[in-house]
Amino acid sequence: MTKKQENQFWDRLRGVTEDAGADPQTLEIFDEAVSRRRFMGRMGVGGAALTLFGFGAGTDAAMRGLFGRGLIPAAWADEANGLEDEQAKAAMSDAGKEDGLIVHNDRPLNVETPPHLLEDEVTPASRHFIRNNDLIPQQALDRDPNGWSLKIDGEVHDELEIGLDDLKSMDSKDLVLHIECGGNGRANFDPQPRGNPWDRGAVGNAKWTGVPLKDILERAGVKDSAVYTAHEGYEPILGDRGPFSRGVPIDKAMEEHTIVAYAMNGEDIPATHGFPVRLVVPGWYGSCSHKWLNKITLRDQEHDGRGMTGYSYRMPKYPVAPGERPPEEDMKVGGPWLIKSVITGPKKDTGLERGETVKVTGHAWAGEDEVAEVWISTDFGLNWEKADLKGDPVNKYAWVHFEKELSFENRGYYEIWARAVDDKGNTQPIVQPWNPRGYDGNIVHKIPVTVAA
Amino acid sequence: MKRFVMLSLLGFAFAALALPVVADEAISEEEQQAQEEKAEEVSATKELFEQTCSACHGIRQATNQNLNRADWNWVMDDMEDYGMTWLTDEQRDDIVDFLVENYGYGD
Repeated sequence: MTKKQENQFWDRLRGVTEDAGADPQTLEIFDEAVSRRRFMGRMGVGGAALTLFGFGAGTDAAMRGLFGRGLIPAAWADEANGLEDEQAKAAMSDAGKEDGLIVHNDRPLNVETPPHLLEDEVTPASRHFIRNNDLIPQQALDRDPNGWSLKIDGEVHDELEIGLDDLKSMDSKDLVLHIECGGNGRANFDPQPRGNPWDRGAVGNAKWTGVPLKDILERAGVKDSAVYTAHEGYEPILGDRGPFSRGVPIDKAMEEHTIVAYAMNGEDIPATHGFPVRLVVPGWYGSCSHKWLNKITLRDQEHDGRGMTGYSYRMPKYPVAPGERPPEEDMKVGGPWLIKSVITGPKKDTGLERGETVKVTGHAWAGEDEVAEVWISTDFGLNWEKADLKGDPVNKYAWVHFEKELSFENRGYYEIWARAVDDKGNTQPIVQPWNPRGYDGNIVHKIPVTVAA
Repeated sequence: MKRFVMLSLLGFAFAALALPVVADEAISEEEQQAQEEKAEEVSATKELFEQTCSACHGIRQATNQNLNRADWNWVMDDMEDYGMTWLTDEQRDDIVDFLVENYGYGD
């Protein structure tokens, strides 16, 4: 874009803004912002934006106000998908993401892994899904941990602030833990509820290294009045709204597999996965596992931050008809996750020969419970055969792996279905029960295959 | 021979394509003007939609959805809570119409 084109662009945008009914004060802020934008032009669109909204940047209130009303990023977004593409690209490359992942949106960055790429027993960062509600801090993209600390306050005897070295000097655990977006499976709801249309792959099972949250909370001294946690991070927020902040009941926070993690698969956590430190709350909706974590507040009531109220991450208290939206007071906080499985091989639409042996592989997990069995059907659920489980999970909340050899004697179209059962006898439904925002999606996974004549 | 057949087929295709054009010419100037105005309106709404929604998030956050009118209005209510405060009621309705038409399945 030449200087002249750029100036025309800003003038045109100012016109649109004015036509859209912006008040004089807004236009004044707009003009100020544009002059700054021109000043920062040499940094590039992404650089300027990230300077404004990044961690630790000296952002003044006026600019924040303007951002809140959405006027600045409108311009940047319009400019060849400036900020979001650049940040998304940087984040994907920082985490070494492979080709073949499905990008639902680039700002915020939301990426899922197709089932056949979930084949690893421990999910590498290059194949781990991304669900961001807001932006990624520039400091995380720079892999700069300076100044990071975790604050513990609220219903504790002594407020606490822990630096990174301090955290790493505490007793750590290596745990393979499954993290799954609450909306994973939404694409299988009919009608489709609002939200990212995750199919199967907003789930991962990486190895996380960190300190049990329990140990940190006990250092601060948990008061009897503490019943719930509230999590916050240092990510820049999209729009004019409060920080994304979810929490869990205190018992879950004190459970020994709930960790404050500083490494993923033995390395620093990639920017988009929460550098330098994130929570991992296995078995619960992924949004409980706050990335870029820098504050945990203990509360004397159920947390009411963004993501806890209304319909967000909430389920109806009773079954509802597809498309029905019950009143807000009939909703409750969703989670933990239900029993679930994914078939990682064969890939969907695989062509087979008659009599050819095909190995069905996959994983199963069960929220707070244990996977007891996985069953496979090739005739639309009329008959089921048990798959072999490859031993116990390496630790609680890690995936259980299954496999089963199959062959088809006759030509035709088949679906390989997988259905896990937990230790309490719960299993996966054939038809997806509906809820207004598409959480808890766990219908049996179905892989279509064709056998040649 | 094969080439000749292909060309003939192409000729038929062009003839078929030409037919609606002839039909188009048959519509009145008024109708044509109305159609053009409608097209301009849609394009203006599309631009307003893109400007408004990309203010905070990628456009795909909207275009990867398939929602009915009630749900699109629900989304808009939430976006207003998140700072999308600059639209007139009419502009908001236009955007909802556009979304229902292009990324939805009716009322």
